[in-house]
Formats: sequence, structure tokens, C-alpha cells
Amino acid sequence: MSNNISLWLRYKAKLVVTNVSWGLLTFSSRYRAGMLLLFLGLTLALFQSGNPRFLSYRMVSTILAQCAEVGLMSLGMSIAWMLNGIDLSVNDLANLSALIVAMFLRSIFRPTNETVLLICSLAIALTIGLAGGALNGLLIGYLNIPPILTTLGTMSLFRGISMGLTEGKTISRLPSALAVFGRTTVLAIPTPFVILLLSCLFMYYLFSFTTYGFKTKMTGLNPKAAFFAGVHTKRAVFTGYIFSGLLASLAGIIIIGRTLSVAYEYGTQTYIIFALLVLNLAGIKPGSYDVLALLVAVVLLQTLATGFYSKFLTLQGGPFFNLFLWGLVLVVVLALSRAMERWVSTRS
Amino acid sequence: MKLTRLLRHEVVLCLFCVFVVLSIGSINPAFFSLATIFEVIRGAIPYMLMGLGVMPVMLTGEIDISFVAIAASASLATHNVLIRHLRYQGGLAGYLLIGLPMGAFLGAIVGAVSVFSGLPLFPVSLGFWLMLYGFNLFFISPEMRFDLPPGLTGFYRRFLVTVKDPVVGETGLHLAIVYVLVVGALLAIILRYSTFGRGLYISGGNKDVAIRSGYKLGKLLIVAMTLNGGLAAFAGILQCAFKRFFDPILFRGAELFVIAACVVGGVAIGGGRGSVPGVLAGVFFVQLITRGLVYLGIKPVWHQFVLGSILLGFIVFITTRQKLWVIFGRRKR
Repeated sequence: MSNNISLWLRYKAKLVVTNVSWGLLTFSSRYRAGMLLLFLGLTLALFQSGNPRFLSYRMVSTILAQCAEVGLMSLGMSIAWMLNGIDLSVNDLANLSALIVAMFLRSIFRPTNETVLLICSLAIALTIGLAGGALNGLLIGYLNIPPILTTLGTMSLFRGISMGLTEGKTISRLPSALAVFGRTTVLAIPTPFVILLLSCLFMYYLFSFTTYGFKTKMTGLNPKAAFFAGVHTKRAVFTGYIFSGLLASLAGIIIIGRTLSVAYEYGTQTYIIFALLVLNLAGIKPGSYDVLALLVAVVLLQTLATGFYSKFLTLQGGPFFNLFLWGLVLVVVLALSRAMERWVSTRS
Repeated sequence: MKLTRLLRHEVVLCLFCVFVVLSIGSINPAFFSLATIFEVIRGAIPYMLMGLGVMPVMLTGEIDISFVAIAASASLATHNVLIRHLRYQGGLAGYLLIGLPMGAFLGAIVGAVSVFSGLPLFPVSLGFWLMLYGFNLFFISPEMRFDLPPGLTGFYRRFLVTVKDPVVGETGLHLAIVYVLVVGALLAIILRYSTFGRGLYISGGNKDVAIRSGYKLGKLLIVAMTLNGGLAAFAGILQCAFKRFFDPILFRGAELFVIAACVVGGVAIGGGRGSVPGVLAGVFFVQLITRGLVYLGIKPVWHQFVLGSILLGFIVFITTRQKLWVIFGRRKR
């Protein structure tokens, strides 16, 4: 008799465990943003308990200002990701556009009026972003070259151009008026984060309420079906990569504004890995686009990076350990999110 | 039909090589010498080995970039074990004995993670790339190691044929080219005559057909990655022996160079096509251009730009050439 009861209890317990974990998994796959917010709260609490000054206004605004660059790059890469591709050239395109703005202001024309200067530099950066994105889009959309290889090629091309133009040196002493893009605040929120928020809003509008966004999603989900439904799939891919390039050049402007200097190697490799991590954490797939989750994932990652950085700063060779850790985190997060997806899809 | 057959990719590439040599030589006659060719070959040997390693992976339609980090890790770790713990005095043999299995093991891990998690190889290998370089710098040694054992110090000048040149000095055809040729021949035989090799071609060409004919795609990829890791470790050890120091960030940034050389050598981007002579010729071609840029008096900061444009140009050339042939054939009829 007692044996029966224990068996029954065990059965019930197993049922409860599977149901709860199943519920959590479905919840987390449906409401990514909520789960990521939960994680964000947990990490903040953890770092706060380790260092009571972690949640000060200064620290939070630093984190928010820093996450704008990565956020814009991953926002751009998310469009490529939705089109079943990848854009590895975002970081180098950002550097290139920042660099061309700097070169222009230094040697060709430096407006004395501040507003003209800002508009001028923004226009130049966006033009470079448009051109770089158009090159990617042309090769991927119209010539059907695989995105990984194309963007690897354009990445090395952009880096080569910036390396040749700067001769490997850092350009500094830029007009301090440019700091508007990076070091000021709007309503106590750092300007870079405001730019990121505005771009996120724009992307949300684009992919939720316009036919263009819908067509792009369809192209990513099933290019053949989209083609037969009358979508210009080539054009959709082309414009998608153009948007990615434009967002990258916005990131370039923020880089100038924050550091008031330009280096051809700024953030190479780590930013791309960050962007890939963000996309996977936010669960962006062809056909599903969640800007809110992306934003929360960016903030979460930046918080983690800042926390780790301040933790390992005192350790000898700490930056190297950070490299090791980020590689490990990338592999583990990718594998886990993929396993979760599979599990959910087999259960439902 | 006859023309297309005659103008195979490898032949076209060799014509390109001759053209490049002639055009650079006409601008700077110092380029026309046996010593230059031997130097180009010696510079190309490690990259040829890495290219041969990554080709089987690219044949399956996946892209790997972790092999450079594997090369760095395996060579540095082997050096550390041999010098610090075993007080090794010998030459290359001991390094290969430990380094090759280590590289193969690392490659197998990367492949296995990709296969068992069901992810594409590229993001996984990107993560391992960062992780292995971080491992090298943090756990093994953050600085270059110049303490070569006596057996390895003279290796960089073990030539088969020696020539004297007014510009380059005394140089020659390095012994390691024999290793490359042996590895290449073995790989060509494996790819052509073994079921494993045919499976690599099929899985890149048409996945469904490969599965229907009984191939396990995951197993193929893991074996290809094992091969890749082993050859990368070989390349890393050779490169360190040539440069006479062991470097924690060896080959960092060279992954693009190798993949570009493979693409130039006719390895299809989507998988399913590629050959050993093509890869060897591709690496030789890219190395020839890099060295030629020096002779042309182009500043080193512009080299990356030139290489990037060559890579892009070749990608476009290869993808559009197939379309061009179709148009060409129709016109003839």
C-alpha cells in the first residue's frame, strides 16, 4: 500500500516538474522580453550586492551610453538575420563612416557653425552607410552570393580602406561640437541611448505596420513563396542590407561623439560577437521580430560586460580572461537557445 | 564544350599566376628570380596546409574560422609542455607527435559542438576562435616565446636547393614543401577514392541525396573538422619554426586570407566543389600578390584593401562566370 502511494506521489511530482518546466520554456520562448527583463533584474541585484555603488545614476547612464553602439549594430544585423543572412561588416562599416567624417572635417571642410557641422557629418556618415549597405545588398540580393562570404569580403574591404586612409593611426582632436552625439543627455537620458530608442521605434514601426516590413519578413521566411506571391525578393534583400548599413553608420557617429577620435580597429571582433549574442538572446528568426526583446538583451549584455570588466580589472591579464569568457558565453548561449527551441518544437 | 573543358579553374588560375608574375616583373625586374619564387613558396607553406585542412569543411557547405585559433593554441601548448615540463631538446618530430593530436582533438570538439547542438558551424567557430585566443593569452603565456629547442633552431633554413640572390640573400626551396605535397596527395586520394571523401562532395552538393544514400552528415562534419584541426596544428608548428618564436596570437586575422585563397582556388562557396591542386594554386596566387605588392612599392597599410578587393572580385567572377558560360553556350548554338 505504502509502495503504491509513493509511486503515485512520484508520478505526480514528475508531472508537476515537467509541466512547470514546460510552462517556463513556452513562456520564455513566447515572452522573450519578459524573461530577459527577469534576467536583467537578477544580474543587477547580483552586481549590486557585490558593489553597493553599482546602481548609481552615473553607472547606469554609462551603461546606457555604451550599449548604443552595439545596439545599433545588432539592430542592423537583425534585419540581415531576418533575411536568412548575416552582416559581418557592420562594425567595420561603422568605423569607416566615422573615419570618413573625421577625414572630411579635418582636411576638406570644417564649418564654423555648429548646426551645419552636425548636419554635415551626419549626412556624410549616412551616405557612407548607404553606399556600403548597397554594395552588400547588390552582391547578396542581385548576384546571389552567400551572405557570410560577401560580408566577410566587404568587411576586409572596409577595414582595408580605413587602414589605408589612416595609415594605422588614430585620428583625434576632432571638433568638440561633435560630442553632442555621445556625451550629452536628453531629459537625463544619454543621447546615444535616445538615438538607439528612436531607431528601435522606427524599426518597430517598419516591421509591424508597413507592407515593406511584411514583405521583408516573408522573403526571409520563404523566398520562393514570397516570389510567387509577387514580392520583389531581390529588392527586399537589397533594401534590407541598406538599412543595416545605415544603422551601422549611425553607430559610427555615436563612436565619434563618445570618443572624439577614430581608430580603424575600434571594437573589431568583439562587437560582432556581441551582436550575434544579442540576436540569439532576443530569439530573432526569419519571420519573427521582437524589438523590445532586442533592446532588453542589449542592455543585459552591456550590464554583464561592465560588471565583468570591473570584476576582472584587478586580475592580472584580466582582459584576456574576458576574451575567453565571451567566447565561452557565446557558444553556451547559442547551444542552449537552440536546444530550447528544439525542445519546444518537439513538444508542441 | 572543348573550350570550357580546357579552361578548368586550376588552369585559369595558373594563367593568372603567370600574368601576375609577368606584370609585376615588368615593373620591377628584381621580382624575376628563383629566390623570389622560393621565398613565396616558403611563405605559402603554412597557409597551404591550413587551406588543405579547411577545404574538406568548405566542401560540406559550412564555413569555419576557428582553425587559426586551433593552430595557435596547439602549437603554443605543445611548446609549453615540451619545454617547461619535458625539457625537450629534439626537433620537429616531438612537436608533431603532441601537436597534431591536440589540434585534431580541438577541431573535433568544435565540430561536435556544432553537430550536437544543431547550429551552423560558423557562429560556433567564431565563439571558439575568441575562446582559444583568450585561453592562449591568459592561461598559457601572454608573450612570445623565443626559447626554441636546439633541434628546431636550424629548421627554418633546411633547404632542398639553395640559391644566392643579390636582393633576398641566400635562400632556397624549403624541405617542408615535401610535407605539403605528401599531405596534398593523401588528401586528394582520400577525397577521390574513399567513401568519406565522396560523402563530403555529396553533402555539399545535395544534402538530401547524401542522407538518402546513407551518409551521416554530422559524422562527416566532425571527421572533416578533426582533419582540419590536425592540419592547422601542423601549419602552426611550421610557421613558428619558420619565424623562430611561438606566438599566442599566431595567425590572428589570417583566417580571412586562407578562406579567400580557397575561394580563389575554386572551392565552391556553397560546398560540393573544390580540389587539392586548386587550393594549392589559390594560396600560391594570393601569396604571390602579397609579395608582389612589396615589389610594386605599395605601402603595407594598403595591403588589406588590395586583398579584400581581390577576394570580392574573385567571388563575383566565380559566381558570374557560370552564368556567363550559359550565355556563351546558348550563343554558340
